[in-house]
Amino acid sequence: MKNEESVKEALIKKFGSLENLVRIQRERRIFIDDASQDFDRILDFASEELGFSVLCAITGLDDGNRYEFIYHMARPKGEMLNIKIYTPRDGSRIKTITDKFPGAEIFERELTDLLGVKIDGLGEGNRYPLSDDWPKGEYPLRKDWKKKT
Amino acid sequence: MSIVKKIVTWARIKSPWVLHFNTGACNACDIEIVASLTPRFDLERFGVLLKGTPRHADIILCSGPVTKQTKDRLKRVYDQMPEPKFVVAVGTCSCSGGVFHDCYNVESGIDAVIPVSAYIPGCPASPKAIIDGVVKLLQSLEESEK
Amino acid sequence: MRKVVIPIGPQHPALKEPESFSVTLSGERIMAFSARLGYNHRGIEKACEDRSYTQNVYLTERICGICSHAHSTAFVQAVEEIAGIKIPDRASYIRTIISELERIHSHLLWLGVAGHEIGFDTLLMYTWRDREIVMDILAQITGNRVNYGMNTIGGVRRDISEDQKKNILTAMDKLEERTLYYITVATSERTVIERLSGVGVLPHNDAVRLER
Repeated sequence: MKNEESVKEALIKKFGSLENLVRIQRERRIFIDDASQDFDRILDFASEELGFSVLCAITGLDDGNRYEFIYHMARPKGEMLNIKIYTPRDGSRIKTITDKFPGAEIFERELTDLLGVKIDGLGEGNRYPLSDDWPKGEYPLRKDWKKKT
Repeated sequence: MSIVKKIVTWARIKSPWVLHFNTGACNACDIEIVASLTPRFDLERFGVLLKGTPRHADIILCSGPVTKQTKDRLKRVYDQMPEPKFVVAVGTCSCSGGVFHDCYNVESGIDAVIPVSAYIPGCPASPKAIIDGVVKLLQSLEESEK
Repeated sequence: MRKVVIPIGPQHPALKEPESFSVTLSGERIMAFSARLGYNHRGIEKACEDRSYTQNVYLTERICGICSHAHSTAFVQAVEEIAGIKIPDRASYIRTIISELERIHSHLLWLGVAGHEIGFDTLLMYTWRDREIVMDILAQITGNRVNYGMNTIGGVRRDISEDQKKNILTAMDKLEERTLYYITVATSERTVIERLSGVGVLPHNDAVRLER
């Protein structure tokens, strides 16, 4: 667990606000439980200084009260750092990371289509994965959305 | 019937050409369809040939539940096939929707969009069942032409 | 040379799944490309919310037909971690054996399909004939060729007997010598090299930049 401990120490040393929020789940899996405050700088630090340069996926969840977004970053040896941020449900907005991570575009399009999040900085593009004639304003992955029979 | 019609019917029954179209499936039935053309099961001994375009095909093998995006494409591909044409629904998902029958992006089964001649159930339909289904379809054609 | 836009649409002889690509070519060089995906979207994530945990084990298996065991293992491991269940060692070994057998048949599958795409149909027929050896073993252990319902929350549903063990080992010997032959064919056969070398090259710097 040496590598995971050294990552945790480096993060807490650089960002004091992460004092109790870095958690090692098991070997090769590290979680940052709330990075909403300094998210941009944490992402830059993790990808440039600590070597987590591969973006695997972006997961979006709705837990009833707020939206949670998890950015899964990986290192070549298989260690993963999962960075979570939260936004309130109404008028939820996050910033795009496609300027540094071009491959994030497809995950962000999925979030706008299925959860209805506004993403600042994401240009126009095709819908993914819903069809072109899907009605506007219907976001299937929200907890209060039920299928119309 | 006239001699020309007899020859045409004989050619159609003895050597049907198939087209394979996946309308949103998980891929298991597609792999079983391709596996039934490989040496262990060998559908080609019945004269079946896998073609790439609908305009050359007699039979279309569909797999998968019909999603909202593929509904129009399926109708268009069916219209492009020349008469007489037959539709075979391979797998439980294309017969009735399978495990996905109440999902928000899925219509129920293929027969909501185009008329079906034969149903082959199974999840996935094994190559033996596919061969059995295709042979039964050909035999019923032979019966009806007599 | 003039540019031509070619649609590779949802129904195409080379595709096994529906996807839609629009490729702009100038001669044989690709100038621009756009993709429209999502034809396979069935809404499984939402469907999982309405079903019980046991039903979800079988639903996640049907996300993909070739790698079905991998999806259901991922789901079951997540549930076991949340619930704090520790599974017996033998179950862990059996899950690994099934996963490795699935990996073998999946690699033979794509090798055959790659051969088919470049016009080398003999490779397709040979590799899929040998893939049947693995499918027989899987059918003996689990009862089905694909979508084996082997996982359950807390372990696996069936055991491997001594006879099945002997059959697996004999089959692996046969498969090993055939696979070594395919490796020689794929890497040193002159037709394959002429057809594939120099085609679709991505420079190292671009690969590193786009990896993010």
